Amino acid sequence: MRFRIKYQEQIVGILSFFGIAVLIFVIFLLGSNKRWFNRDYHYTTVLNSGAGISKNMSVMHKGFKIGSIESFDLNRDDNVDVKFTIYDTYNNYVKEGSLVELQISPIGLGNQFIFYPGRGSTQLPENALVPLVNSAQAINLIEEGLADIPRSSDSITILITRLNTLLEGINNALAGDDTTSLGRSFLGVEDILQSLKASLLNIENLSAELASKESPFHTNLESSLSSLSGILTNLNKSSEYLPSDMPQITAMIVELRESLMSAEDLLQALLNNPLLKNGVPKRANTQSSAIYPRNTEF
Amino acid sequence: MMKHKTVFHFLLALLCALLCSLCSSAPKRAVEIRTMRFMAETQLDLSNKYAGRGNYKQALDMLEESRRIAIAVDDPELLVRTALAYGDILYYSDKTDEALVYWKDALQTAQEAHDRELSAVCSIYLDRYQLLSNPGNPAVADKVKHNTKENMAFLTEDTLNAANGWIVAALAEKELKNYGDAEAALKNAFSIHSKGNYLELAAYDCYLLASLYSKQGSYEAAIASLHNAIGFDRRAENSHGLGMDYLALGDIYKKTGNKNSSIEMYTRAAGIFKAARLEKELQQAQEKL
Repeated sequence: MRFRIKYQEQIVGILSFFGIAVLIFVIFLLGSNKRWFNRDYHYTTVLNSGAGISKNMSVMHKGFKIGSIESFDLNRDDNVDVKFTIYDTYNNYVKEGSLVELQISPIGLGNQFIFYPGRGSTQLPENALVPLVNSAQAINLIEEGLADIPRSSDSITILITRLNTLLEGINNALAGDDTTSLGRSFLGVEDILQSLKASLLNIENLSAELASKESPFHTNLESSLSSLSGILTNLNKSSEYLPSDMPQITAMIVELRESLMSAEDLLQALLNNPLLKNGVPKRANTQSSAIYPRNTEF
Repeated sequence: MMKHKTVFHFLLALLCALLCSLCSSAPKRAVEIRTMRFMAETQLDLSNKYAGRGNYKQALDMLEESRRIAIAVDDPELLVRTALAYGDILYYSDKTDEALVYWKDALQTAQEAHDRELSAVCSIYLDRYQLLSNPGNPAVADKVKHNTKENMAFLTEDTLNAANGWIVAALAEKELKNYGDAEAALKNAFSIHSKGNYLELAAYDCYLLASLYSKQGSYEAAIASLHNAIGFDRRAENSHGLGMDYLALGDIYKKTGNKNSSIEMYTRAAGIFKAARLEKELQQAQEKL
């Protein structure tokens, strides 16, 4: 007896159909991941060098992949033409004034191809040239207000850029550039050093002259010092007596004062004597009362 | 007989000599020490002298020390006099409010000390302030005139205070255009100052008299009075006063139309101020030239 499945032709047909359907589904799934069925837009840019870029390198915008590099070649001007795509979902970012930048990490942490959307309202056509940041076209676009000055999010690059700027400034200042305050300060320091040098030279000459025993200054100084020494010796001798005689001097002063007061009283008494009073010459009186400045109108 | 007469005359002469030598016109007062007060008074007088010549800064320096001593010894008269002097200097330095505080403080001190003369002096100062602050106000001038005359009744001891009273009365009469009474009051003040040998104050009286005559149109009398003032200022070596007298002479000559004499007087005043290093006054004289 032969084993036969009923409706075997129909089952084979259905399974075949199912298999084909799965195949198609898988193809579609793979295709959608690979963007086979998406409409990507193509653009170009020009770089100075192809170092750091590679095929299928992501085009990034704020940390999101919005496209990829298709190809890059040397052109007749010895620059690198780069073709890249932008996914259809992000194509509305590609406005007039858009820029691209290739960020190469100086310490080998990976490169990035970054897209900066423009501020213009016009959509760039497909295959349009998107200028590189720092190119002449990019500077024009920034001046026109169609592009923003790109700010790097890479802190190391920022640091190195600032360091470069600082070193450039210092170099210019040291070279004598007086357009910056640092340059003017260096120039000022130079002038000060020059005049200090001249002053030191004068001081050297002066001290040489002073040190010379034949100079009149030295002679005068010697004689002044010797007389001063004599004075100090005498003062020392005199002051040896003073501490012991201070109370006596004080007493003498008090006695002198009392004598003067007695003499004054005696003179006052004589002056008040009617016989003598008229013979004493009159003096002008300096006493005064209220103040009257002489600013009266005449 | 002759011998007895000689002896009698000799004894008489001796007696007279003894009597005269025992006489003294010195005022009797209680025993006290006046060293510091004397110093303070000297400084106060110097301060008033500097202030009278427009040197307020130096006047204040002297006055501060005098005031310090007055407070230290708590002498009412000194406290009053230094406060009055402070008020004067502040008033002429355009610090009227502060000046008023000092004058009122002086009056209060005098009243607390129950010194009628000092209180009268302070009242005269306050009346003078009223007069100078309200020029051209006859009501104020009249009130000041009456107050001053009332207060002068109490000024019996210090003649300088009486002279000051006469000056304030004269200024009040001048405001009221009673030139005759003003002249009489000024002459009373002049009499006190000249007899007491207060040369600078006598010069000021003559200066003020000259102003009075000038206001009345009696330019000859004004010029003569100013020459008297110059005489007193020369004797006192008061350069500031001399310069101001010559400036006033220049003003009078200018009023009489005598331009040459006017310029001569102004030039002389400028010369005196320059020699005495009185910059502000020199500028004033040069502006007139």
